[in-house]
Amino acid sequence: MVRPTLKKVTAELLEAARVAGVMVDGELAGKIISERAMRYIKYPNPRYRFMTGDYYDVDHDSFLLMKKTLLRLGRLVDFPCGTSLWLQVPGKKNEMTCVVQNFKLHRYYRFGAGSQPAAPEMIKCLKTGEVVLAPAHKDLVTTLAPVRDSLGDVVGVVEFCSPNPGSKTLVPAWS
Amino acid sequence: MAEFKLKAFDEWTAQDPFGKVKAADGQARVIGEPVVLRAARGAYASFRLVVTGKGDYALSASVGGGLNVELYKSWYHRMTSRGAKPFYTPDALVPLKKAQKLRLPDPENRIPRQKQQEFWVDVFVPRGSKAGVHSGRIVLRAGGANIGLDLEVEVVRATLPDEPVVVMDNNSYGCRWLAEMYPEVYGRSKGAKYWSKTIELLHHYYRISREHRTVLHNLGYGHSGLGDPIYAPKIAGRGRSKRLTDWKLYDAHYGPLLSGETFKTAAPGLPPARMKASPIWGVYTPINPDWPADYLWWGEPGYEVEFVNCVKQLDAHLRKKGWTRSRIEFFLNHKKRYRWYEWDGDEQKYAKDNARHQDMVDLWEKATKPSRVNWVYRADASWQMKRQFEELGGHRNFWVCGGFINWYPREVKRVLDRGEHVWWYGGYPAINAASSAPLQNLWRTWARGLHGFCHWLAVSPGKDPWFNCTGAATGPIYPGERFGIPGPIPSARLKILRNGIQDIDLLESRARKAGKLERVRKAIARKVPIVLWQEPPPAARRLPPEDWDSENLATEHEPIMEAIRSLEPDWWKVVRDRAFQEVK
Repeated sequence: MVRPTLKKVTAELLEAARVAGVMVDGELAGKIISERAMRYIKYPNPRYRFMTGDYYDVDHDSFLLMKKTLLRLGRLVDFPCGTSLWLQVPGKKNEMTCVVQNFKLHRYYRFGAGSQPAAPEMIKCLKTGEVVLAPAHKDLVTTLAPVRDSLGDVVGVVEFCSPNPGSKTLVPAWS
Repeated sequence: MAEFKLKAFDEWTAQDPFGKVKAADGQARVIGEPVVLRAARGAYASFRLVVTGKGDYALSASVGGGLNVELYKSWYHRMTSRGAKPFYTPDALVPLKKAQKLRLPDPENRIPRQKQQEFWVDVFVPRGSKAGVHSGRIVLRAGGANIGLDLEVEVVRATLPDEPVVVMDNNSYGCRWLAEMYPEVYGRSKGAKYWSKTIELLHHYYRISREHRTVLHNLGYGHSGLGDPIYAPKIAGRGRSKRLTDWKLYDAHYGPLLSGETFKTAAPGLPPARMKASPIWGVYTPINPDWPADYLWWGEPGYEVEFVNCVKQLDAHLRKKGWTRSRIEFFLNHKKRYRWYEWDGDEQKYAKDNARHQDMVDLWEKATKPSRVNWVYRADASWQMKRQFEELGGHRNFWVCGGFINWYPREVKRVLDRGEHVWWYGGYPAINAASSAPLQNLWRTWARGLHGFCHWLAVSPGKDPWFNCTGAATGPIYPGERFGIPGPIPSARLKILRNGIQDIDLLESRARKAGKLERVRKAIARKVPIVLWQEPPPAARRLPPEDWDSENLATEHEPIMEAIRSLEPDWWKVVRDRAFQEVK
């Protein structure tokens, strides 16, 4: 397979993000994580660091529907692409939780983290409701798509992440 | 020369480089001269040799009767504790070359004012050895003079079984850690060469494990379901036309393990292979929710077609190659907390996820029944194990149970009575725990009548285990590269565990032969102050597992070994003495 150029990767990921901005349903996204799981994401127990993970649970059907949507979106491009859905943690400004992810490419996800601070480009996407190209990275190219609910509010973002064609490192195998 | 002295200590007495016994090991248990050891044929006997003095020296050792002696220099791991003065604990064992020049203080270990150096001494008794007492001697040469320490090794009239009676497993994940640990081995290799070196190194880890009567497991895929190309054949097509296409890397990786070929030779720098070169006990497969079937089609006819066709192909390949003895472990490792899938494959917390397991098991059985391949359905069960035993049993099950197994003696017995395979899992103790601590989980395994124990991670001693060690609880196998060895090196913990496994092997084989295994097991259990089964805490009785947490159970769920501190450092002696008593 011919290695795509950075320009091509960037352009196609921006286009995929544009499609995701239309296709990804913010109402569905909000139904995935159980109420109790979200409570522990919001208020982790400081004494037991694994408790948030232990209580993590999802609605099978909503999760699966979202996962399949993200899988399809990732296949809009003809090079490896990871897709992740991030939602704002209710009541915690600029705090995000990863809800669903695919493939092994991601720029923001910290293994096992219940939630994490939003990157500036995520904040920009949430605020403007526009597709955002994340700052240059030596190994990855990343775009972000806004996720809207039925009220028109931007409640989260979809991350598209692909290898930077100039990268010399192996695509990660173990996440 | 007069400055040098040799002293022997039992294997459960570790000392720092200044002569202070590790706090958890109690008092130093000196062995007088001659050092008297006892071993069965096919077994090792060990002790710790301490050299005190200053300057250059060399060590050699020999024993008559065709017995082999090997010396290892203990590495003192520099540790710190909240700003306090650094302290040093021996654990990694660097094999000594013939006539290797040594110096005290050791320039490699860089310990200011080091006064003594510990060595691990392994005496191996080949299977054909004559029973009786064989003499030997350790000799230290310095400045043209020698000092010695006499040994007497009693070879008893018994031979260890080829395979251990309980499986003590060393688990590991993926292979990218190897490139970080062995930059010189890899150099600038890429592509096929990179993978070839990876396979070679992994085989060395399998070898060192087998030679210590343990097993290595290496899981190839991550929580995402994807992994490196050495773990699965290539795949092409989709739906009806999906096929496994290229077995080159898969066969190079797994073939020698499944045939036993790997075990004909030893890992570099270590003694020759002494265990029988049999097919490995078991291996993981690449099967997961996203391999070989595409999860995009989960719940649709295409998922079943892709899964069944490709797993059938894997099964046919294993049969064609004759790789039918080792357990082929259909295992699902993903956890929903990492956000790739909506259900837990591993350590399942929610009962509703059982339905997903059942769906996967149905597909797997459809693809593999009937088959000569030794397939097993491995489930790492924790929160829901009691329910899983009932709902997911009856499928060539191989259960690997979390610490909650302590609460279920009756349920476990029922599973064992069904003929299913039961292990449990946890971790190795940190190096500053009592030296005999690695034997605690071995004891619990055997005393409960279980088949094995999985140390959840055993190849990862930390970022800098040498000069900034954090306990190395996940790494009793160390990388040898800094000592010029292109492969792994053992540790005192691994050798102590091996010697304990030998004791159990000897004990069980003799007691079973005499028809009194359960009587012996119970008799020893009365003397070992380790609680085997416990009542579940009130929350576990009152609430469903979905509502259990670390707070209401008052226990952390992660497998971190908390060694029992009230045990005597040489508590294992009861087991060892009984094993040799059975020989008589």
